[in-house]
Amino acid sequence: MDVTEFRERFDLIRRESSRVLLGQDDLILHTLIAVLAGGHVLIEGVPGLGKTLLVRTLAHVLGATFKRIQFTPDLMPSDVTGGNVWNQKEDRFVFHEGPIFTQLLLADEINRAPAKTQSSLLEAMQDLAVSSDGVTRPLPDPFFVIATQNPIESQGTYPLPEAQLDRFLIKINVRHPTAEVERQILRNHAQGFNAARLESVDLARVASDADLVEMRRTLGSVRVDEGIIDYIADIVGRSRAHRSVYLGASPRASIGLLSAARALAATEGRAFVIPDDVKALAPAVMRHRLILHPDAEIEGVSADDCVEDILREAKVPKTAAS
Amino acid sequence: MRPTGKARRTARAARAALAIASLIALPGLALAGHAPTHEILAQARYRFCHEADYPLTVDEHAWCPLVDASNEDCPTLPAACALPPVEGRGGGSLPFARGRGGGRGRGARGRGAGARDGRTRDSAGEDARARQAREDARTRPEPERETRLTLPNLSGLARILLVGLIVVFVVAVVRALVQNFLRDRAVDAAPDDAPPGPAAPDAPAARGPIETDVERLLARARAAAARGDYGRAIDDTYAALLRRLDGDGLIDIHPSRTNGDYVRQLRERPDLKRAVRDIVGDVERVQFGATQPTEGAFRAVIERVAPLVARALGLVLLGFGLSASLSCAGHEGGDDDEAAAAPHADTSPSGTQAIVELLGKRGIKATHRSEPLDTLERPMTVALLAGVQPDEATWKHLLAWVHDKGGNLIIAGPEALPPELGLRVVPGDGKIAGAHLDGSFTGYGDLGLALPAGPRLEPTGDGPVEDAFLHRGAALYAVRRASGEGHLVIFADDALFSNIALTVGDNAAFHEQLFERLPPPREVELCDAWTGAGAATPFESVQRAELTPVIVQLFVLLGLLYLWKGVAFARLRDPPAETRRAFADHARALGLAYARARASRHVLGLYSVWALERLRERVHRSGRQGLIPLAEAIAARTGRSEAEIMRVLVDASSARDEAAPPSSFRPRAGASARRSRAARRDEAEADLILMRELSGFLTATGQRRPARRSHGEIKKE
Repeated sequence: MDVTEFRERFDLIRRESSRVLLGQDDLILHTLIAVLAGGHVLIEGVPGLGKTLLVRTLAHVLGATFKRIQFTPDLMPSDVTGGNVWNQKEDRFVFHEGPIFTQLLLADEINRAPAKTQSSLLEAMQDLAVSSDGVTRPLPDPFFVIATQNPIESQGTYPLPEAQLDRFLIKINVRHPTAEVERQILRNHAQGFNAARLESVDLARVASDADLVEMRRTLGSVRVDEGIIDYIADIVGRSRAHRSVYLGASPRASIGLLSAARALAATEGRAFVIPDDVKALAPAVMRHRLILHPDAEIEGVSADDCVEDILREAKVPKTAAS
Repeated sequence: MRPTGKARRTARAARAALAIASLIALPGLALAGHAPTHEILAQARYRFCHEADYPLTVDEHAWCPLVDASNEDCPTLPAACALPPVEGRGGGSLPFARGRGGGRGRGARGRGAGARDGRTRDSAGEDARARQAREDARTRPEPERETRLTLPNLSGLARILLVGLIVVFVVAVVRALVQNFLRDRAVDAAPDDAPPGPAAPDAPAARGPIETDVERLLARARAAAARGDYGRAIDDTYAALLRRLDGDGLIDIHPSRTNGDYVRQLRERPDLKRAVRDIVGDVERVQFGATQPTEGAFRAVIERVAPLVARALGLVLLGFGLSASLSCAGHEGGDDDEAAAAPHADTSPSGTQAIVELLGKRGIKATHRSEPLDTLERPMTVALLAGVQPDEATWKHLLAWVHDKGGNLIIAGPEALPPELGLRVVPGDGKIAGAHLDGSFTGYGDLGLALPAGPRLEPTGDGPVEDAFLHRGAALYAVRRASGEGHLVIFADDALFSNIALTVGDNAAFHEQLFERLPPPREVELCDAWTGAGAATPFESVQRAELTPVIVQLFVLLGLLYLWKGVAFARLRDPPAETRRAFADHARALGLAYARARASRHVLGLYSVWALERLRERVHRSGRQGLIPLAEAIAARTGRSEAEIMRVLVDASSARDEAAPPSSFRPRAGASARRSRAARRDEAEADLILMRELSGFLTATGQRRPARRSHGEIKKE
């Protein structure tokens, strides 16, 4: 598959997803980029913006197996990964797979579970495997996690630790749709659309898991110029020296930014990455990886502000002004 | 009382006799001279009275038969008269000085006939000396005219300012040229200074000043392409495009902006955005993709960039073309005859400057009128000279002004008189020269007027003219009459109203009497072709000067230049990068503010408050109060002597006690406002030393601040 075919296939997926999820083009684009780049997505937004619908739609369109975990304070790690259960008939322990053994996992309201439960995802997200009782079991390929969290309700929630956050390739802030989009949503519902029954909208399955694997492989052929490498390193390096940032982005962020930029280039039919790809994805890749100084947070500085600052200072390679 | 018919006949006979006598005696009249006239014409600017080879026009030459061989007022005029008249412009010193003869203007042609008549009459009487002089003039080479830079006649300060401005302008132009030349040389010499040797293709180029000039970037791109460095050529071509767009104000170049940012900035210009996006795609394919920079790729880029870059330049050239064509069109319709017909108040023989000065010497304010005649309101004396031909409405206004407002109107130039005057100007017989006063005007004394032959006045009706003023032979030359509250004086021509007229006969004395006998106010305005030419507004002035197309073109060019270059007319530079000051900079600035306010003691007090509290927190855990336990604890921590530490703490404590808000700040005891500067400096240094001592205590007794955790450490947690 070359980048032209990649683009055609990607446009098909995006178009089909947009039929259900109106006015969330950026959300769909970034999610698909993360999926294609082999990363995981953290979606932050108030309830009712279609986060779950997005995941279900993608699972349907991509032909991936889909499971959902509703994170609650009493959720145990074994509820996520599964565990060994004594089988009296066979007189041995048998491993019962948890919901994590799927291709597309929706970790809904992930910050409502305590840290130990959240940490049960660490190995799965990084190594695409689950270890239990000394046995490591691989997860299906492709495997990706889409987690959601609510930024408003902070009572009874457990902020995600930095290690967990770092494993998400992209964090997307979902915003309310515009008035025109909202009117269209209402019209669709008035005409009988039911988000719980996606089969009613005749949603096509336009890709298979094999296609996804092939598309991921195509990304490896996307060229990355030395100037792009410098640009990414410059951006990430500046995040570590920013005056408002206590903890900057990790090398995993650099790698993630590069992968995501390659995916974005391929979605536009380009076999090479340009600085625009990096610049466009830097906020989504870096915003959840920056830990701000307390005084900066008190002053109302957000991670997005810091990334914006960094992008304003980082020099783009091979331009008229450089 | 009106004279009877017999008396009138007697008077006519006397006037005829006087005319004949005046013709005989005319040369002798010039010998008498006129003191004020002599003084006026003695000025060097009346060149016709000081240059023997001054070229006289045909009109001016008509006066020559009346000029004696020696003229006191105008010594060189007889010699100038010995030369043949010239056609065209006279030899006036001012650029617009020209004679009324030469057959160039309508009025000039009319008077030229009379002049030729006069010359014919007198050619027979030329003596041998004149013929010889004329022959000499014909044979000798034309004297080369001296080219001189003549500055306007300004007062001292204005002249200095003008000269200063010229000098500054010239120096600025020379400086700019030299700087530009040196800069270009430096740029050209730069590559030659580089050490020779093969350049490493992969080695990054040394970062120098960023080239922002579009033309130079394009030239550099072509040079790189000629060398075969197509990658560099494409980069420079694209940079030229961005610089042009930046110069046009369409984008803002910044090191942090990507090509996509620039394309997005062009959203107001969809066509341009499309074109630039296509170019950007090709450029990025070479810059970041696997496409090799080839000549074809370079051609593909520059062929699309060049039209975009050169568009503004093309507009400017188009503007220049329009400018040239419109300027030519504006001048094609010019009427040279009208322009040449305008006589001017100058110092040439045909000018009127001497009359102005003569009247000035008699206390009569004489000026040249520039406002239109139909704006005349207040009473004064107005003389209409050649070049003025009022229309019907203006005539009515003028006559009403004379009648109702008490104005004095001298009509000496217009060839067509209004019917209300009952007179018309008719050509003379070309033979009779000289003039005499009508017998009814006895108060003027025995004046011998000298006039060349010319036109005469004639009544339009059958009746005789009863208010004759001057006669030229038997012909009526001038009329003077009362009209309501004002007076009218009508001449057949304006021959008397010229500089050269003052050099002969009693013409100068006649002018003095004429204007002095007119009712007040003693204010005279001479009207010529320039009268009414003044515009009411600057716009009208520009329009009349036929400068409107030029001005419009200039504005258009300025607009084009603005579109092309934008606000920045100089070489474009990158904006300075935004820099934020570090906390240390703020602290340093605050310290300098305190230093300027000489508040070192106040600062020491504030610092002592803070430092003593920190020291107590860190080392003073025994519960005892006072400085002694604190000094003991610090000494135990630092190993320094207690006495030394105690001295520092006591000084700090006293400074702390003095610390107070600036409104209640009191100088230390014994301090005098008249302390010397050296003493104040010593005190400030002592305060600084004390603060450093306290800081040393804090450093020695403090704990290390927790280091910032690394990413790995956090992950481990």
